[in-house]
Amino acid sequence: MQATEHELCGVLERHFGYRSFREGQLPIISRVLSGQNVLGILSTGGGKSITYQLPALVLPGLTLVVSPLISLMIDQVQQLRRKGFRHATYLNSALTLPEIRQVLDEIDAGRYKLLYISPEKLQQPQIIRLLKRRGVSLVAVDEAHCISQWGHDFRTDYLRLPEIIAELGSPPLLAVTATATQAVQEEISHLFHIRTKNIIILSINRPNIAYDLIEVESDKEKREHLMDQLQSLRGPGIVYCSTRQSVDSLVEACHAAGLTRTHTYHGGMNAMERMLVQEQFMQGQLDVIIATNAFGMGIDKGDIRYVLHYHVPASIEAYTQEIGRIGRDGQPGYACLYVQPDDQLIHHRLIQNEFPTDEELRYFVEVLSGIHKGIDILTHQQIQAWVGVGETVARMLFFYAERAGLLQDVVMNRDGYQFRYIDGQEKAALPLMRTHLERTKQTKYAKLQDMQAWLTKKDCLRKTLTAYFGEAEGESEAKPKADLYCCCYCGLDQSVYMAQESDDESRDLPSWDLEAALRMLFPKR
Amino acid sequence: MIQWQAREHLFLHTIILDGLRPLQGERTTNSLFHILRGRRANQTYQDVHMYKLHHYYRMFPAFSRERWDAIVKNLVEQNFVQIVPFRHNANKWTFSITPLGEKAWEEGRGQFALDQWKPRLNGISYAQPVRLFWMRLHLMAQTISHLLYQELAFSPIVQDKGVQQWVKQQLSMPGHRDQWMNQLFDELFSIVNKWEPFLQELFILQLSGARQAGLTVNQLAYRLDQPPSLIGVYMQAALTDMYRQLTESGERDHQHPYPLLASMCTDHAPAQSSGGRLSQSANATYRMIQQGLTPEEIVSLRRLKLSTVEDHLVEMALYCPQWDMSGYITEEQLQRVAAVSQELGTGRLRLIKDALGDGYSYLQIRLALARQGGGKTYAGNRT
Repeated sequence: MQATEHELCGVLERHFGYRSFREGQLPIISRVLSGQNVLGILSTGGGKSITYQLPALVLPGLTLVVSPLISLMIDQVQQLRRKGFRHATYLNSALTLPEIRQVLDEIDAGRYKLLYISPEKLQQPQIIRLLKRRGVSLVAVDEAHCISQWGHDFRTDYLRLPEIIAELGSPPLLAVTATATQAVQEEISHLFHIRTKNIIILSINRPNIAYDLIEVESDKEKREHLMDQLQSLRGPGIVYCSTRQSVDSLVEACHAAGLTRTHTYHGGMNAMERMLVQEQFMQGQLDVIIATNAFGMGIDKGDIRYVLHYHVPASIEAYTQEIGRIGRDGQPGYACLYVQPDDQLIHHRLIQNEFPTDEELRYFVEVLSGIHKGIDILTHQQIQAWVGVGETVARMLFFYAERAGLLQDVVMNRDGYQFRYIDGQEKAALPLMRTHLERTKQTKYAKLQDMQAWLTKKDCLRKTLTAYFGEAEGESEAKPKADLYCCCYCGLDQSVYMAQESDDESRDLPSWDLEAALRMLFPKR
Repeated sequence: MIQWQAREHLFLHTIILDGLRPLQGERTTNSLFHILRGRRANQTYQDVHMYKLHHYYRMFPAFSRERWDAIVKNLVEQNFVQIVPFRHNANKWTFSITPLGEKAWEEGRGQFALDQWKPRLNGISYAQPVRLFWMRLHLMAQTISHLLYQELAFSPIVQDKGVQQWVKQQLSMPGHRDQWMNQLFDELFSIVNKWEPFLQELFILQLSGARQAGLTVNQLAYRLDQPPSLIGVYMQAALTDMYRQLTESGERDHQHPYPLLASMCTDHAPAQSSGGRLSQSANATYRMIQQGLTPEEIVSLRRLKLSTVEDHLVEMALYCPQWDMSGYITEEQLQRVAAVSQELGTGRLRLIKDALGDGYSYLQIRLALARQGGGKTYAGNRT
């Protein structure tokens, strides 16, 4: 299908309210519409979603968007519906069985043009059959770097995607991601059959963000620095930590210092509290969120003025994604990374916990070979009791067991795993699994080392960061207008990011008035 | 701040000592952990009943194992609690509370006014329905607020699909939307206005609307200068009071003083009028029994074992205080079982049956034990 640029602009304005495309969007969309496989690398906040939402409107059949992030799916579908686009929905594990059945019926009836789907739902045979019958015009793979084993966020359920897409009749494919190194780009293009000329890269450089490093010797020193910065920087802002404990204790310290518009956000809080905190931040009731990396996905807040990293992140990719949330409104923003030598050890510990030990690996293979008889089932509890590993490690074990040929047809559901055991493979499979696991683990360590290497370069942080993602050094637009806004090596004018004196927030709480408080919630009609 | 944290510790120590007192010498400290988390297991129901810990059931559903272990360790280190061997079996361990622990408990009890709010809580009967009520109220308030501000797009704080569906359904019925928009303010104002200001603030500030997102427990704790766990307990007590007031104020006809709020207490979800606490299968049995079918008929209709249907009956006795079980056990027999169980100080069916003599089936004993104390007791083990 061919559409002129003029026609596409018309669709953009009518349905999305934008006058013109942002950089990179048009070349991606026109290639997709002409039936080619495309890889688009657009920085966070660069308007990735338009690149598949607009084709979905124009193409005759269904557009699938594969995404690992449930909250992002829900969010995007809600946003589209708000804009009056009612032909979008999602399929993921957040839905109940009757809800899934309803959505499937509606898809069958042709109600939708755009379907967000989680990779594990896309593995289900009856869903694949339905999609085949209905006709898929485009498959968009969001967070496409998750397919790469060299990536920082490898997801086992992404690896089957190429196979499933072939089963769907190989419709055109669009892989999008915010961060991908050269190696990851190559792997994505290889797996999804994308030609080099169809790789569209937008510079990951964000000219309005200034990069800073603060080196400290001890936790105490770091904490003091942080308190100083939080008291003087202009918000709203985010502080990222690697552990929940540090999140909790930093927020306590903030409250003790009178910074009351600060809140924690991490996976240990219940779902409702996390939503409340997110909503308070969006509505401007909070100035600072101190969070683990659980915070930020799908948060569309344009005026975030700074992101501080209390611990060094696990990879340059993760770092780039997290600071990408700064200044999406184009106004100046500040990114600061605290560097303390010991912090590496936190990541070493996290990686250790994420992988099975050799003993657990052996137990796992033993348990499997002990129970097999045709199609087998292991519940989550059984795995916990017999192998002694949690659900994350179990998922990894099953994945590598299947890859090593020990199992076939592995299906995970709410209760546990169903699979077919292949006799006589134990001897060969065990060392193979060991090698694969080891390689994946080494990739994680390598990512940490890349991060460390970047930190010790002592050269322009902007230049070295873009170089890491394979962009040529010294590209003219890489530099902001003046060196004073670049980084701690080129020059940095801290005062730009400081709050005005008048920002002082010491308001007294008014005395309690029930009627007034209720009227605030429910105004008179 | 340090002081604030110290008070949180003190409060938790007080609650845990209070909950452990009746269990000492009989159970391990873990029993209380399961009660506080609201574990659904016969053993836990039994403990709640035997040791009269209804108020603590499901008080802290999200309490982590690590946190619990740390607190117990701390109580032992402070010499408030001692781990001791069982009276009759030296191989098993239980615990006792030391005089020092008793003293700490006495102090905390006064400081945190335990006796004031404890009687108002009854987690075994109310924790679940009150939770559902609160989620509906929260989402309804957020929705109505946005409607009144004429802002149609918002992110629902309550993500539960069932609750979202319920609110949608309410507002799609003809005339209902206007009623909610016009009267929710009045109903909330008149019911909450009778509370002390502290509770009003605690309650209202947790709601979300178009101009504000609700506060988290930690924010309220800071604002009201109380330990976070105590804030949670106050909220639970206030909500339970409200729920009981709404459900117990006579017939739910149009004379009800708070028709909108009361409509949030009923269950239009699958588990009709059983309060939503029965398992799905038991709920099906419940409806058939209500239609006049006998257990034997249900067995053949649903291809179940009789023992399964009997399990359902016990569940109904436990969770549906409105269910009339006079067809299975007379009021007199009920009293007798209760008395014997009390006398023997046990919930063990075998012992009770032996003491009662002939004329009582296991089912009858289980029903009686489940119903004992007005539907807030335990299901009892089958032997």
